[in-house]
Amino acid sequence: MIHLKSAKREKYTLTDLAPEKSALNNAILRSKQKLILCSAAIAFSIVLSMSAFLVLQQHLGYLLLINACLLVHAWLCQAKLAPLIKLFIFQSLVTIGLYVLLYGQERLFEAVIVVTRIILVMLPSWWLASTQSSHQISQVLSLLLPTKWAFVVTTSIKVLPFIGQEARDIYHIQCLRGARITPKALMNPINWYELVKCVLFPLLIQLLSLSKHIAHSANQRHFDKSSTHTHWPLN
Amino acid sequence: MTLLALHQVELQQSDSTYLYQNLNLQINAGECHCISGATGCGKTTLLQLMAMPNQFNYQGKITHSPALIIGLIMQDPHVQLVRETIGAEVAFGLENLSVPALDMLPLVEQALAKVGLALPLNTPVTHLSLGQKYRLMLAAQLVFEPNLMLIDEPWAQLDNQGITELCQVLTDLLEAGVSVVIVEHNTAPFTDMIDFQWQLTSGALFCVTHSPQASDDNISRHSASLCLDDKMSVNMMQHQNGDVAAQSNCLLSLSDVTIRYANQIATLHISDTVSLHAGDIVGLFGENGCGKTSLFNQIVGVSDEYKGQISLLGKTPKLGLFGANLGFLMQRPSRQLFEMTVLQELEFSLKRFGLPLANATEILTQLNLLPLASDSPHKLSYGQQHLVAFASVLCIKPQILLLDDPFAGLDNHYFPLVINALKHFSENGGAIIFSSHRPILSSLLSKCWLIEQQQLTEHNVLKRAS
Repeated sequence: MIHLKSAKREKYTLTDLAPEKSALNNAILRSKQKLILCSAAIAFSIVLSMSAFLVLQQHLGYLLLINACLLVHAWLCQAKLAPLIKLFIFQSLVTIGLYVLLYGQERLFEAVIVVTRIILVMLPSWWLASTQSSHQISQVLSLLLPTKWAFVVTTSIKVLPFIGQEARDIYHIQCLRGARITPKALMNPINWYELVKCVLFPLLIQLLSLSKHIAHSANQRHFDKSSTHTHWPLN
Repeated sequence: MTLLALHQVELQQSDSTYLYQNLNLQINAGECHCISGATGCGKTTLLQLMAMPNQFNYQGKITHSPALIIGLIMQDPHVQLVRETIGAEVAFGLENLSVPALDMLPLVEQALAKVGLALPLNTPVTHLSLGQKYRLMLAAQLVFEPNLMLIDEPWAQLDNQGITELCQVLTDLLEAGVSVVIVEHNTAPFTDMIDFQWQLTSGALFCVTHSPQASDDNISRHSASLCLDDKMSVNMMQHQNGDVAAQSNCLLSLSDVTIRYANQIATLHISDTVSLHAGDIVGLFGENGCGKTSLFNQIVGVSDEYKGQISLLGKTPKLGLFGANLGFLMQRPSRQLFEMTVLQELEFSLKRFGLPLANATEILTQLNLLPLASDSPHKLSYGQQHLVAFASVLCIKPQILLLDDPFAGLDNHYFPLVINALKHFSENGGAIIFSSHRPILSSLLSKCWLIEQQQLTEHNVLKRAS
């Protein structure tokens, strides 16, 4: 176990920072309030996601309304809606397309309901990740889950934008290399394999490399040294 | 006091060849060691082995002093930062050591002060430049008060300002009795602080005589005229527009362009008209985060967050519009590799653009990569992957070649090969723009584009008689 010399030498209390005491107290208080809100947001998003599969079909409208409010809230919190909308459109096209291929047009409405439920499952999690910091989520999850699991979940959320940027970069560079993966080329299902091969495969390699680096970084900073962890007080 | 010692260490790779054989190293308190070596010789792995020996299946003996506390900074800051604000990032290690929450505050502030990162503790990590992120990683290690710092290739990541700041921090640490081990191709910026310089060759460390002459030699081998190039700006004069001869055969021009970044805070302005002609080699220089990559993205049509006029081969840039006439090498180009062999990787674009497959062998020969032609690109070292990606762009023989930081991580062996390939490409009428966060290779350039204070200006380069 590492003993920090400075921590012993300069035991810190709020009274040591007389001029800044009030500001610091306020910051810590705000952090605690945010933490309570984050706990509520996690519980709310879990319940909402579960409801998407559990509620009766005639009650889906209420869920849609609540999720629309979440969308507006996330948009007000500067979250980017465009990638989410693209994902939902892609998801809808694939699911409805498969239903039509397998069962014909008579079960189209059923496909729409399934797509809606899938979207309603995903949307609360996206809202949570967009409006709460990964550190706060980690702090709450560590009360419920083993520390390692809490770290894995929150780090996964944190690196989502990085993964998205990596995916975009790889897609663009492969387009410039002549890959048949432009939106027009992807209208032809034959070219879908090229997308998998030259975008998803290198992305997977990048993700494996990223997870290895993050694990090294965390271990090197004594992540596995102690079973109990404290938390940074300012969020 | 000996902090760390490696005695007769051997490490086998997955293909049963030895990465290290009879490797010995002893690090005492307050010493600064620098380890150089060819790309792929195992420098980075050596740092990891020193820091986390229990994660390797090695033979020999690695001794850690009971008092040893190691700080390790790897190459890419983006993949090591785990929190969203700078305070939380530095405190991550303290959280793991169960330091009480209120005790963290002064420790975090002290660590940030040591690296000169005087920013509010709740500053988002995403708002930092690359140089600032590097210093943040340093602070995240210093918060443990380590007595041995291991640092992997900082020169490739940081601009001159970042290197100056890092050297200051390291000098202070050495004076405080902390030991430092730097793995670096270019040792010149660290010459004043290095006590022991090592060359990692054939799996063993060989001590290099440390003298000013040795340093100069090292620099000249490393990057042509790098030593002089840092003074390049004083030898440049503002480019005069209106050179009629030069206006002909214009492949790229940017007029009155303003680029707005995604976060809509900073912008890059190009007030005058800057242009690129056949046979030109243009250096795009500016500090970390000044917008070099963003400018490339506008030129190739990946992004259109600009106002003004960009004309590439007579057209407004759009992704995929220029086919084999445009070659673009992104940062960390190993990301683009996906084929099973190096040769297939090069042939991919040739097949898609209907070009002769013989181009692949020609470029592999030119870059001394032919022995790797049937190897998997995913098993190559970072530098080799970098070169394969470069070759895959070069082999389509585009009219314009855009290279975003193409020399990062290249060693003395591969650097001249890339330079020669670029010269050959230019002599055959190809136009090149390459970016770097420090002015380099003035003897190679037709002109340079400098980004300072969010303004890009075009300059002629006065080539030296030599």
